[in-house]
Amino acid sequence: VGEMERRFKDFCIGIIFFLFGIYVFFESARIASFESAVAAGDPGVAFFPKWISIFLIILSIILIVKNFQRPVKTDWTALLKKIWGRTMNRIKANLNLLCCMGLLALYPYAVTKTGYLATSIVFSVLLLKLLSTYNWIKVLLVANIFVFACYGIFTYLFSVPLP
Amino acid sequence: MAGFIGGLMALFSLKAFGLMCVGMLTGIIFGALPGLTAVMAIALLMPLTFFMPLNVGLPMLLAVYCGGIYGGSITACLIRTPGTPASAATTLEGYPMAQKGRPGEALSTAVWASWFGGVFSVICLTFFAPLLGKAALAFGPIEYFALILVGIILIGYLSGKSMVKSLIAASIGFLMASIGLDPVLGLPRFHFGNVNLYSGISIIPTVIGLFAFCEVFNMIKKINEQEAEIRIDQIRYIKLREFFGCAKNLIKSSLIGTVIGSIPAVGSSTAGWLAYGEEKRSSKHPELFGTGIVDGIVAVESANNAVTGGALIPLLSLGIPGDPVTAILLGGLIIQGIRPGPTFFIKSMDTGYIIFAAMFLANFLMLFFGLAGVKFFTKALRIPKSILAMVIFILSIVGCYAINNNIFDVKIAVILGIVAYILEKWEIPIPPVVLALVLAPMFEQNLRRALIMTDGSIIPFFTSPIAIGFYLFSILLIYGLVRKEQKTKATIAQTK
Repeated sequence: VGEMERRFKDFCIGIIFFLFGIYVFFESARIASFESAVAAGDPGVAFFPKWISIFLIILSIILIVKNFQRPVKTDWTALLKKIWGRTMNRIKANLNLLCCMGLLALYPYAVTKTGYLATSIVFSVLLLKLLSTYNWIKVLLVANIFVFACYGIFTYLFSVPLP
Repeated sequence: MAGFIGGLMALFSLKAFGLMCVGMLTGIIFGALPGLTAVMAIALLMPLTFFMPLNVGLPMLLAVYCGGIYGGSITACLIRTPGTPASAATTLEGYPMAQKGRPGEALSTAVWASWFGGVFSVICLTFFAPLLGKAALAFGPIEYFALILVGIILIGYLSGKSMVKSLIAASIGFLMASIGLDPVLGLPRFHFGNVNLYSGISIIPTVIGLFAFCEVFNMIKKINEQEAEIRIDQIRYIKLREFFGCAKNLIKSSLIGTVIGSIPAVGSSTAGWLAYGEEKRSSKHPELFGTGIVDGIVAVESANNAVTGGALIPLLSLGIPGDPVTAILLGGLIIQGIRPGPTFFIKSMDTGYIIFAAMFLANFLMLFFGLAGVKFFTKALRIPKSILAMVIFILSIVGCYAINNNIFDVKIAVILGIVAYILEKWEIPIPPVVLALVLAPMFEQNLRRALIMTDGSIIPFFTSPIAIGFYLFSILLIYGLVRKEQKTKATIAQTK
């Protein structure tokens, strides 16, 4: 079952990259290529991404073909159910990882509105609360000391202005 | 020899030596912190040197340069956050070694290898600068294309379990490099209406995202699974007998670094990756690469530090700066009234000897500070994982922002961090993405320039002796790759 699951996973990865390759190919085709605009031999602006996307499509087809399993031998419903169940369990087990990813994704948007100091302190406090069992005083102390130290070093010592 | 000793004597004043120490420490700190680079450190310190004598100011800047390249390996080994793009490949071996409770060995190997690479390149610089300078001048677009082709084939050796997945990873890197202005006509591609994408995806946010953020996500996962903390009972340094047992690797990688450094615009990142790929290819135990072995660290660190001496070859002998650091150094030399170029070694030989001696001394200072700092640096691993995760996040975010003062770079790093985490789960290796991203602009630029020069004909690609040499080497590499794949298949069949 492990081998079957691995092959199914690689098969899906192959399909994802195949679709991505097709998308990049059509996007490349839309670029004004200016072939031979400057000199006769210039293959143009779109030449490189177009060929790389073709290469990616070929590679993903290889991955799909290598991992294709005849449906007769596979109980697809059971396999999908098992993968779905396992994915849900993994999400539940790694909920704080997803929260951290979400916090990190929000950071660049928040920092433009509230600035480095406020955003970083809130971000650090939430992160420490998510990942540790420290009490609020320790969390606030660690977060503030580090964020202010970083601010001081970059702004005053290295003359890098932070937002 | 007398000239070299004279140059060395000029550095033994309290002021010159003291400022070299300051320069070295500054370089190491800038190199170790993500987002701060040797270029930035030299640019900051350069104005100070205008009011100093040449034998005081210039050695300080050279010390910053050497320290900056080495410094990147500290965070690369300890927290998988390469301080500089040059040390991205160091994470592949240094970090697993530190995770096994051997951070002292990882750091001391890195510093010894950096020292060897640096000293090797200074020796080459001293004795072969005019000769290598002329050889580098023989590199046109066709030769560059052939050289980068070798690098692209070496990606195959960075593969994990599946060659196809490695090539998919490399394609992602190539496509990422296509974003922004095209390198020949300067026309925008894949900008999706976003002005920030016109300048493409910078290497520093990429490296931070792919390595640092991805590692923090792994760290958080380990906290979830309540994995045991790394146990470090005693800090052990690498034994010199073990280190010099890699003599062949050291010489080969340093040579790769020096040659790559002497070719303008190729850079230390490429040298590190190429040396790592080559060492893995020629190793008797390629399966051990990625598990934290000395050979891998030695290859990368000796190669990327050998670039420092190599990069000065075209600067001094031809007046061509090979990278941003040497471009700033060129400015500094011109302000001091020295003009590098073909007549440099005739008109300003005294300055030449000061530069050689300063580079030589800087590498010994790097060795001293690096070894002295091992115990101090490894304390980073005793920090609880939750606090370490916060520290890496904040430092990486600030580092990304500091490069261009642009929050868009932070967004790119965050996206790439999440993508890298998913790719790792899919068993798609990350190193080929970075190597492809480094090589792609040079590959496309030189291929298209060469095609323009030859009016679209490919026949001249096979008339340059240097290019033919590289093609033959590429064929050998492909042969090696095929054999490697056959061996892997045979091993899998045997296991089954």
